[in-house]
Amino acid sequence: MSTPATVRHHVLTNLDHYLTELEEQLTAKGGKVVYLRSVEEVADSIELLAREKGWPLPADLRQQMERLEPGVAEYLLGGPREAGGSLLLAAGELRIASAAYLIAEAGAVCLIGPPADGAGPRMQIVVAGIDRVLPRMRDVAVFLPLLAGEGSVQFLTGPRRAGEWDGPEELYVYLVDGGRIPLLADPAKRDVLRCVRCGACLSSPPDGSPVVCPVGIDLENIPGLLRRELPPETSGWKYRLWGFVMRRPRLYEFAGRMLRSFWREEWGVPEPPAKSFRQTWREEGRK
Amino acid sequence: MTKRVSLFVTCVVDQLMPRAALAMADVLTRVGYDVEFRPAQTCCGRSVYEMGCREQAQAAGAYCVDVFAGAGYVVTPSTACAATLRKRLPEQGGPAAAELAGRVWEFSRFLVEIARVEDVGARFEHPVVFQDAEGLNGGRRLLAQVKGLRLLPLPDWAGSGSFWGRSEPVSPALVDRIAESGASHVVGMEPERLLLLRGAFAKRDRGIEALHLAEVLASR
Amino acid sequence: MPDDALFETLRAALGRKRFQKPSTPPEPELAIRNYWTGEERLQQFRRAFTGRGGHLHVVSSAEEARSLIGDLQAGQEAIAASLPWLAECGILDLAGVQSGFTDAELLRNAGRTARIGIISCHCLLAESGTVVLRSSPEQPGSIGFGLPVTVIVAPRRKLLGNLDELLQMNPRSFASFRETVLLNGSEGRDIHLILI
Repeated sequence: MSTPATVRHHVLTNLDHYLTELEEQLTAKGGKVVYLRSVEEVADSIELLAREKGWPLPADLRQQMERLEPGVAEYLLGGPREAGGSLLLAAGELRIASAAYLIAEAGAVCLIGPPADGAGPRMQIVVAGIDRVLPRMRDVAVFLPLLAGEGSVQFLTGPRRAGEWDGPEELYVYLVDGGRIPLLADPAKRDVLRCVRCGACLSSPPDGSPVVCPVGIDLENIPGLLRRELPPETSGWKYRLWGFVMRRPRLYEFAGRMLRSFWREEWGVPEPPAKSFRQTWREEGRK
Repeated sequence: MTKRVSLFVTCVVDQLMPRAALAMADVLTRVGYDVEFRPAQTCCGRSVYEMGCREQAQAAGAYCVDVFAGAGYVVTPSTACAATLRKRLPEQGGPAAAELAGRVWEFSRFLVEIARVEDVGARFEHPVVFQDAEGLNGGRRLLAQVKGLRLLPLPDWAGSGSFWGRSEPVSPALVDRIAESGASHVVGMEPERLLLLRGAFAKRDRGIEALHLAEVLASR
Repeated sequence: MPDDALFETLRAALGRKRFQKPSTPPEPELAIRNYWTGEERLQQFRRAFTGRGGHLHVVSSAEEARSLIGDLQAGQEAIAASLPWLAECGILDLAGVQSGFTDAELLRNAGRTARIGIISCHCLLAESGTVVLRSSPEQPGSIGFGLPVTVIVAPRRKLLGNLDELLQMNPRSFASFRETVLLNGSEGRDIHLILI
């Protein structure tokens, strides 16, 4: 296994330890760590903080937050990519960013994207899944190249310190569970959370081809993993019939002739060829 | 001693892209191999494996082990089916399954790593874009030796769809990107993705052809 | 805000006990380029930094650096970080360069009229053409990131091979600064780096 794969595996199996360490380090420097269960709780919490300050928030805050970490479907449809986006709200007083990584030992938050202009926002909120932790600062050397590309990178360890005139007065780190704990509980699914959103798998969807995942997720196995939870479907007569036919080449050839036009409709492929490969090969008298 | 290879055509190529397998046989013959096709072969079981039916997938895998017993190198035009046999057969247990897994080769890797050829004497005078398969660089190396071929850059294949899952079609944005690249052909190594692209091009009436790498290498 | 319920379910999911220590984490493989000569580092840095829109000026003396800054100023106001290194180079004494702000209000006012911010950096990473900046009371972000033109003055010894080298040398230094910025390229700003 590659280093990123083993490091991610290690973090996930000891996640409670690293989250505790991260929280200790961050709070020691004046940061505030908040655990939240869902995206809805994140939006609620941001609205609450903004209301306390009397800051106006846009009505479409939740949609805007989608931009911080757009869904996979958008990627697949070739939509715009905004890696490590951040939102500047309330006339620049509040900045919300999604963390690329959280570094436990250093109590640091790693953001990708250009630094804020000038004195920066008064309040900085960083949102991250609880799985985004790395143990030590030096792990960043192997993980940053997976994400950063050409962009700039920021590491934050807390709010403004004594003697400083700028930097946020408050730094909140929102750690979101968002359904991750049940995944962690199943060792077969746990490794899916190794994902750091590098996008290596996006240029080629997990349809069984050999995608090299930098953190060693067995991409081809995911559909099977999920579908195995629906056993009645896969033990049905259709599968048994399929298995029966595929072990009988003549039946397969006959069925193929029948099914070729059906496949065409299913997958939108153009006119199927008049003859299958095996038919052509046989007719040409090759061995 | 003549060098032998056995074709594993795969069900999809057999039924829907026969020219890719015929071209593959031609190229392998041209580089000095005796090519056989064992008509008992059917499918590697990937489709049902991906649908979650391990039982029937393993039955198909065991059937492949019988079909290709003693066949020497088994060469296939599908990156995905090669990966299925290589990765999933050893999970079935037994020496015969593991042994077959070790001699299954995806076409481009076979040419570059076993046959050790990059120039197969092909000529193809068209501008093309190439759909890379991750982890495999043989395709590009082989294309680089094709006379007259102009390889255009097209780095981002996001939106190229998935076959068995069919959850996302080929995105219109991708079709546009390919059309704007100025290429007359898309060359790839994964039959299912090529079929999806063929479908998308036909539907949007784009005069672009999707060809398997073997079809380009066979042309002269 | 510790969340006991969440941690309890998390530990149950992982099969771990409270306060249970983890095994030793695997070591990342760092790519240390200590075989690069100073000249190779400079070439690497130049290629990567200027390739992303930065301007690089290599000078042989503080005097040259001062006259270069004078040219860049072209009569316009500049504000500078109150760093000993910039003072040593005589940059804080240049005409039209303000520094030594004693409170935030003074700095803000000076920032309104100035066009150029003069700062220094923690180090430079040759491989990626990165400038590593750290905020401090002496070098607030308003000088480094607020103005149309940023001038970074640094000695050549600050040139490291890559991030791996920085992280191997002094990983704890990240924790001791509030903010560390790895500036990759100009990010649309006008950035001049003067290496002495």
